[in-house]
Amino acid sequence: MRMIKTKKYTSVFVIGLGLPLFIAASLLLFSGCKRTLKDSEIIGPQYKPAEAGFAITAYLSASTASADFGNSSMYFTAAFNQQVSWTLTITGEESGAVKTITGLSYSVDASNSTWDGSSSNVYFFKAGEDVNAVLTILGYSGSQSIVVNILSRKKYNTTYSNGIKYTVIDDFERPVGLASTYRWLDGPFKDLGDGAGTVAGITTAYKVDGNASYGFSGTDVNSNSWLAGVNTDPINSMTLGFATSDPAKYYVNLFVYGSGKANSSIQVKAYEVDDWSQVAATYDQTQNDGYVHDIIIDWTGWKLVSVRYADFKRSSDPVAGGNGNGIKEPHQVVGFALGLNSLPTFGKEVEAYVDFLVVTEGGPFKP
Amino acid sequence: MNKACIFISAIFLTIGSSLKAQTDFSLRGLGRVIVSHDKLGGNLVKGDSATPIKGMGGYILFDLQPTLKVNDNIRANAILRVKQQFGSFFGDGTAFEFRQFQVMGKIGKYVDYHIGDINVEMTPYTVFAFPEMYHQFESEIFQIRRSVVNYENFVIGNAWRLQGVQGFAKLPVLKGIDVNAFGVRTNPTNDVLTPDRILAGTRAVLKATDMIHVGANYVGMLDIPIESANVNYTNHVITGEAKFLLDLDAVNLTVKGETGMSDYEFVKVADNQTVGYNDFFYDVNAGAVLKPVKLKLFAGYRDVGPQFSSPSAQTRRINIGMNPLLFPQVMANSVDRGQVLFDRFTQEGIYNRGVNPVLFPFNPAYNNIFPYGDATPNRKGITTGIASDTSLKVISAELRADLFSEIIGEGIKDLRKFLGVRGGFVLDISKLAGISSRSISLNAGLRYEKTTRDGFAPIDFTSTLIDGGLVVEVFKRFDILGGVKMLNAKGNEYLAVRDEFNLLSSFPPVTIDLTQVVFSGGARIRFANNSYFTVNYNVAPNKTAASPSTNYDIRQLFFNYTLIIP
Repeated sequence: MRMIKTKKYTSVFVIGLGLPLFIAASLLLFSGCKRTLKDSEIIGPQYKPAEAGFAITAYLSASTASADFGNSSMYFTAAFNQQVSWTLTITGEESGAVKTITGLSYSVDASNSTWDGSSSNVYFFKAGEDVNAVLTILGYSGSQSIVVNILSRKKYNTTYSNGIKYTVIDDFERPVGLASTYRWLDGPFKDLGDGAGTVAGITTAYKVDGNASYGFSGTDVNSNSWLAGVNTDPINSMTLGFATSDPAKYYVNLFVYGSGKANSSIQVKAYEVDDWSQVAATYDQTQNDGYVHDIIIDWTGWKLVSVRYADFKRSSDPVAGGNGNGIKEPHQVVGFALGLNSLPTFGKEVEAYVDFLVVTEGGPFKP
Repeated sequence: MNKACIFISAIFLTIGSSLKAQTDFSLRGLGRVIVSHDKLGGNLVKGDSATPIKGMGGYILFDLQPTLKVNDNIRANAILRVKQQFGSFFGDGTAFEFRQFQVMGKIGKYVDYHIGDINVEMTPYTVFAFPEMYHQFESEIFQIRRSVVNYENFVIGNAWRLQGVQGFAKLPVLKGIDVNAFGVRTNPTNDVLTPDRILAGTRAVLKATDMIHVGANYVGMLDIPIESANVNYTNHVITGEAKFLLDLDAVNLTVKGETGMSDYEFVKVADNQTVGYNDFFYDVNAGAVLKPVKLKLFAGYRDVGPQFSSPSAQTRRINIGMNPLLFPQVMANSVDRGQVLFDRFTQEGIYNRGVNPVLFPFNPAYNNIFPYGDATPNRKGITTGIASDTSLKVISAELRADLFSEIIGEGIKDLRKFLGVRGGFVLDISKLAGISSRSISLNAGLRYEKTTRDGFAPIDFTSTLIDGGLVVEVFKRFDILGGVKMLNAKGNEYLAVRDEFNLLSSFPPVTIDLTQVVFSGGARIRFANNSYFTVNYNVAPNKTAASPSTNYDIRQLFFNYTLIIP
């Protein structure tokens, strides 16, 4: 920084000019600033550790030894001689699902530990498995645990939760080899140009829910991006219709597993019927809309992907859904398809697994 | 490999010879050979036959930087890297890559531009890569080692190395206006769910007189919307600054300050969830250089709001989640070893090169008062100190004290209080003793931090970092070097876990009682400026009081041959 010598009267002048300028500039800027937490005393969730003399006055217990989440929820109880921050960590012994419940209170009871069978991580709890619930208290070295058996898993299909309606399309839990039934995706349909190396089908290798998922793998030998797919069969087999007509409130949700192979991509396609006179098995893709969404899998492991119907794009192929009325009408969706693509780069070896395809209306899927 | 080398060399030679007539063509470069022999010992590996405890590694690299200057308006350079891991034979495993691309030049009379790999720095609250730890007075033997890590990670002062475009202008208004503007992409789109994320900023400083400088800064990090994106992130930071300089006969006065605000919003489209918040900061400092005694006194006050968000000023250099490549697994080769003090200036792979919108986790043992630099949110307090004037040749010293507290309690009403003391010196003994033929210098540094909190969740946490070092030139251009670095941390703390909205989500308690030390001794031959060969032996014991069975030490013999073609 260059400095200059100056005489005293100049210094006084400069101080007189410079300091007010500095203060004025600061005040000018400062006056426009806001602090969202201006009146808050605490930032983040409140907590309180156990102090000296802490004791558990009622040990951890469960409202039931067999949780029937298909019909009801359950809760845990415990009591302390101080108000403390506590954590209940419920771990499925087979599924890998973990549910975490935290609180700041004198007791654990139905008001703060009710559990509906949902999970805090990506995995679903399984019917028939034991779960281990461990209670830990902040600042206290001891812990308590209890085992509960899950009689039935939480029910999602055709249920409402917080204003969101759930419609399960496919959980891929049917026994291998069993013919598809109502609404289940069927197939696979493979690109013969990719040779015999393409694999598509129910697999128990990876799953977030139950015992199985749907797996795809192969190499896009003919470099046309598409390798294999499954769809509701017949395509318009879902003739139930959905309530919402707003594409922004209609979500297609699915769990997608990435194995780390770049360019692996799952395409979700929704089929609308614009002519309801077409009964089952007579669906004509050249006269109805099809909307697609490509999920580029740039992660490894499972991930929940929720896509608004508003973000689907119209099929560009006039003989495969590109020739309907061109209006996104989720209440007209009658079928779905899933496909494995090599995207954005064609011709690659790709792999993906999909589990628990569910449509939600009013918001995205909350496990 | 040999064919590739010959081919690439031929290209450069051809370009060089053919363009010499009408343009300037120059070559710079850096060659480096690193070899280390490593050994892991201590309780942690006793009886463990599955964990590797010895190893030898290193690499040979050459960075060739051809620069083509067409005229004053345009020039370009690239760095071609040829790298071979130690132990490869006849070029097997040799990697070729372009490490840098830059095009730069001048537009008109006033504007300079850079395109490609650019170094971006503004103010400590806008764009600023703060040091990972206090190491201002660490020994030269560690500085040499750190320089390797810095070079590999583009740690260039306080600038971020990013990819984009940058312009500089000096406008002839009053005493001059310096303008700097840049735009970079920090995250590429996948054209479906992830939008492009850009970081753009501008800085203008008006020198109204030689004594008064005022400036304004803006930096924004935001997503470029695409129809199907599932997130939309925006963060704006606007600041103003002023500096007042007065040079009198006996004293040189400086008063400067910066104040500004941040505006954050993150939309998760699929979840229909939007989180937004604003906050501000201000920072005022005054300094006086007392010319007769060649000392500088300084003091300042700053207040950085709990939700002040400035990713390009708050992103940490070191990602504590990255596991070192040196003995990465322990305990039957199944558990990550994790980082210790020795890794922080020797492991190239634990450094973060990108700007992150969420504050990285940090280890309070290494830095608890300002883990995110000057822009650490939720801090207010004073800094005061004394330093030697830069005109002093024999000694360079500084002592600085920080007395800070939180502004709002984290998860609890009680506030953390922080006391920090840091300082050190470098003493040029040869100048002091009047020895002109040899160079001898001694250095020492200290950083002490104490964090306390009263109330329901008391905190009492102390960490001390000590540096010491000696350099003795025993023969012309032949130095003996020694250094020690010791960290001791003890007490309890609560970590801060943040969610994707950068909000605090939980505070897991931790109890820390550790001692991590690095002793290093060796020799250096200096061939030319910045070209040298060093050999040193490092012993790095790491102790944890709570679990002595996990104590271990790393012993490393390290060779470093570095040749720089300026």
